[in-house]
Amino acid sequence: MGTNAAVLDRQEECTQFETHFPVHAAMPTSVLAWDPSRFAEDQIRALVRQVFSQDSPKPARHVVFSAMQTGTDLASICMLAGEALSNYVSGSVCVITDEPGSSLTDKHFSQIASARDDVRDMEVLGKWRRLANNLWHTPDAVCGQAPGAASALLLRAKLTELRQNFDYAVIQGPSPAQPSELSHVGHLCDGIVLVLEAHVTRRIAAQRIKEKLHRADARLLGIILNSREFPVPSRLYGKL
Amino acid sequence: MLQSRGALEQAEFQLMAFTHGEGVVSAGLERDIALQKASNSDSNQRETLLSVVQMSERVAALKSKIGTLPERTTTQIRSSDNPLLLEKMKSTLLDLQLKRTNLLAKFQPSYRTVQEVDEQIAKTKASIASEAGDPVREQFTELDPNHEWVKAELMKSQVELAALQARVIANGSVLTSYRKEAKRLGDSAIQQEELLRNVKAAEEKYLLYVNKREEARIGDALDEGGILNVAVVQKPKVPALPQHSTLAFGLIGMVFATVLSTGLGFTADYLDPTFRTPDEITAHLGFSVIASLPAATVLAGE
Repeated sequence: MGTNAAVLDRQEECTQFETHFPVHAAMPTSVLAWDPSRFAEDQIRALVRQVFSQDSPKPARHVVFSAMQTGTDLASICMLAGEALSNYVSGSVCVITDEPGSSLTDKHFSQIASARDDVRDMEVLGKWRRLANNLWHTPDAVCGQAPGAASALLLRAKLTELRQNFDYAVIQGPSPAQPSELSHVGHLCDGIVLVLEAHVTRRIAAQRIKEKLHRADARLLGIILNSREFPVPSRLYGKL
Repeated sequence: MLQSRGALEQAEFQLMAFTHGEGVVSAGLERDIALQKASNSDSNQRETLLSVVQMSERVAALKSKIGTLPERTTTQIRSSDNPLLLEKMKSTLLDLQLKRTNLLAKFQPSYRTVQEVDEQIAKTKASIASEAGDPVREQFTELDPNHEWVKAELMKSQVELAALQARVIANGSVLTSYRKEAKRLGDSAIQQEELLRNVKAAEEKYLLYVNKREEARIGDALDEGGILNVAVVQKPKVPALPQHSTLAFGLIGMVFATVLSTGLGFTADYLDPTFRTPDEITAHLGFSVIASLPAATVLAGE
């Protein structure tokens, strides 16, 4: 009985997902002038639709984002992905970033809270902050708090807690410079989204990370190319 | 040096005086022209003499021929009776016969008057017979065309012969004058060439002195500047055109720069070890790019 209820809940969520996230939602730029901000938002929406799609045989709900380069603004990407996800699913969404004092993240919080009508004040519940009706955030690092086996146990406990409390999770994961931790996190979660920096990330490094994840049986859901440059001027690009 | 310059001026003055005195500019050239004219005139004289001989023979032949040709030739001969005379004589005979018939009606044939009439009748018949046997002959003649042609040609040849003889005389005088002029110019040419040689020798001598003085001046200047043992082997010349075309250099440089820059661009693109586009990631890692984001400032919502 409980299994049937879960299946019904999942089907309802899928219907809501498709309803709130139509295919053409990621392509309004074809009729408008080309805007980098709008382009980035469309890309994030397309990312959410592809990663968290319930049509896939093994849908992902708790996903780890990992950046190859240390300078990548991964927290902002996670926040954007979480916000886009919360807009198009009815289930609870949590975003976990490991930059508690980031001014950029705070700015995102303020923008999200002011834009949403379903929350008047940022509700604080312990370490969690509620940014929207179904969107929660915590600036808590997932990895690196304890060494060795203790860290692994703590990580497993955290992720188990997340699965119990939230339907979806966008987690800022460790860097691929720590391949064992990343593989472990990826193994515990539903998959990993790798963020590469254009003109910075080397091909051979990305290839090695991919092979390590494959050997660790971690599921690589996709790749984000960040800081992509468009050599064609925006005015000309908008006319194409 | 002044002496050589004076000698040069004197030689040039002598040459000018000779030119003005003789009235020739280039005696050698004028001599050649005079000889050419004399040669042409001599050739004409020979041809004229041949024509005179030819024309004399022609006149002699025409003269011999004109004596053998008749001046006029008979073109038509016509013989016929005199009808008026015969008619008149026959009428007279008829009258005599009528008169005899009348007389015989009155007289005997032996009568004297009758016999006279018989005698007249007999004469008249004899006359008629004589006239009938000797008809009238008419003969027509014209001028002979051969005689006329020979006569005209003879006259024409005589006139041409006289003209040719006059031309021979005139050509002879012209030829003589040309030969005299050529001889005079030949003498002048020899003198003028000698004067020219003198001028040339004096000029070379003067230029030699000038060059030596210039070399000496350069040597003194180099000695003053502390430069020794310097000799100008060949005087430098400023070329009228550059050795290599500037336009060709520019075009070659432009092509070379274009090829080099394009090659460097392709090489840099090929050797770049980083990812730049989603297609490169897909091709290298085998994963599709689910999002490609512009710069971080865009993500911040600015």
